[in-house]
Order: sequence, then structure tokens, then C-alpha cells
Amino acid sequence: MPGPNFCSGAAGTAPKPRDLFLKTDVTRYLYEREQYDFAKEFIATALSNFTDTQSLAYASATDLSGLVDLDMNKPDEAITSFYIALRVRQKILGPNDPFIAFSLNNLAIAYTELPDLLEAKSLHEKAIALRLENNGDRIGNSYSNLSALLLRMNEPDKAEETLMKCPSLQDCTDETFLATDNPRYVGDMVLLSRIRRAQGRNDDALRLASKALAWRQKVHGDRFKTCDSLYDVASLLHLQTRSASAM
Amino acid sequence: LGQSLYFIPISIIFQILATEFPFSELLGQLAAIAESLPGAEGQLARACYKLSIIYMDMQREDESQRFRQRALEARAKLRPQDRHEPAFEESQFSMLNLFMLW
Repeated sequence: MPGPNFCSGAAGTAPKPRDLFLKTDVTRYLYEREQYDFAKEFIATALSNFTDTQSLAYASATDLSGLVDLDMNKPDEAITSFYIALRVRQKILGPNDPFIAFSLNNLAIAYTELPDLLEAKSLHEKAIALRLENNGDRIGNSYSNLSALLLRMNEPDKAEETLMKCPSLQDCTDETFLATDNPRYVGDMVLLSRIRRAQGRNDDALRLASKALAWRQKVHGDRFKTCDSLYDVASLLHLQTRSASAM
Repeated sequence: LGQSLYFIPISIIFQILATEFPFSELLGQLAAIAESLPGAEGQLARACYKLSIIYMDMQREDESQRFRQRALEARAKLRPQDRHEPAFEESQFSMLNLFMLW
């Protein structure tokens, strides 16, 4: 794999590769902490400083920019970035590299949000085929994301079946989820809660959503993901109250 | 938002109204967070929509109207290009937020 080639300007004027890596790392940290405004600013500066826009490092930075846009609910802008990253990677790595699957998966998530659900499904299927072919360790990520798409397509049973194909969730039950202390499962827990709600299992949905909320409050504080989980739990409690008063 | 006749900080409304049901308390917390978070108008709009419906269920017209107004203002801020006001329905407020925030 060719190495990154960032800059070729005069000494003292062009950014050093280390600086660009640092900006990308800071952006990733800000993105994970849901500090989207700052993340967007950092990544825009980093991208404008790249002189080689056909490098893998540029593709990674563009990808990150797309992820920030996506979390800011701008799927159109995210798709543009994801396609730029995909084309650079295809040119350098060929059509079957695991990084291509990474790009296809990102595109599928963005199309799910757009929503263009058929395009999203087609992209997920291509990403999954590549990941299976490469025996990649990110196959679980694809199954989780495809599961969310199936839920959006009003197919909660298929969504559950697909989610449970994740290698880390083999033989997992609702109780396993509730018993785990590993916050890396929180996204899947939110998804399973929404699947349970779509299946009409509101009590199970509430238990999962409540645990996800507790984790998100602890890990993220007063940020977007906590807001999302507060809404899930409040909606389920409201449903419960409505059902009780209807009896 | 500050121009609205209905403007009262969500945190104050929350303190006054959120004692009845746990879900209204959670939505009040959510609205207070979203109100202080740049870019969270979608979350604020959806929370205020739900609070409006809840208070409508409780036949508390004034509170319901107040949250309805806040929901519409937050949505208008997010989608100023919308010429026709979309229906006051959950689906319309949900689409202001990501379907799945991983």
C-alpha cells in the first residue's frame, strides 16, 4: 500500500504531515465526543491543507468529514464526501480491498438517512460480500447497519435476525445485553430496543432503552446521543401510560 | 426563539410542569439539553412536539399550545426553506433527526 504524500510546498509554508495527522486525530476525538461544530472546523482546515488529494490519507480525512456531516443530519453532504473517499481508494487499492467495504458501508448508512432505502440495501450487500470475501473483522458493523436499514423498511423480524448475525452477538439474548458492562454495545442495544418496540414488545424495549440511556449519560453527558435515548425512554413510558389508562 | 410571545426557558417550564409523569420529566431534561446544544434544533423540536401532545392528552391546553409553538419555531429555524408548514405529526418531527445515531 503506498504511503501518504501530503505536501510539496516550500519549507515553512506547507503543513507538515504530522500536523495533518494531528488535526485528523483531533477531529476524530471531537467527532466521538459529539463536538460536531469544532470537528467540522478542524477537518475543513485539515482538508484544505492537503496537497495530494489522491492519497489514502486524504480519503480517510474526507471520510471523517462525511461522518461528521452525517451525524449533523446532512446526509447529502456526507454522500459527496464518502464518494470522494471511495473513488480515491478504488484508484489506489482496487475494487476488493477492505477499505472499499468501509466506504460502501458509510454510503449505505447515509442513504438510509436520506432516505433511499433500496440504494442503501444494495450498497450494504456489496459491502457485506466484500467483508465476507476478505474475512474482515468489521462484518459485525455491516450486519448492525443493515439491521437498522431493515428496521427502517418496517421489517423488524428480519432486522433482529440480521443483527444477531454479528459475531460478537452470537447466542446473545436481551438478558445478555442487559447484563453486559461493555459500552461498545450501546448502539446495538438502542437498535434492539427499537426492534422490540416495532415488534410490539414495549416492556422489553423499555428495559433496553433505559440501560442505553444510562450508558449514554455516563459516557457522553448532555449531548446528542443522550437526547436521542431520552426521547426513546420518554416515548416508551408515555406509551405504557396510555396503554394503562386505556384498560 | 427569543422573539416569541411564548418564550420561557424550557428549564423553567420543566420545573413547573414536569412533576406529574416521569416521561414529561425526561422530555423536559431533553428539551433543556437541546436548547443549550448548538445544532440540536431537531431534538428540541421533537421533544416539544411530544410535550405538546402529552399536555393535549391531559387537556391542558395552555401548556400544550406553548410547547406546540416552541416545536414549530425550532422546526422553522431548522428548515427555513419550507414554504408549506408540514403536518403537526411525530413523523414530521422525527425526520428532523437521524433515524439511527450510532
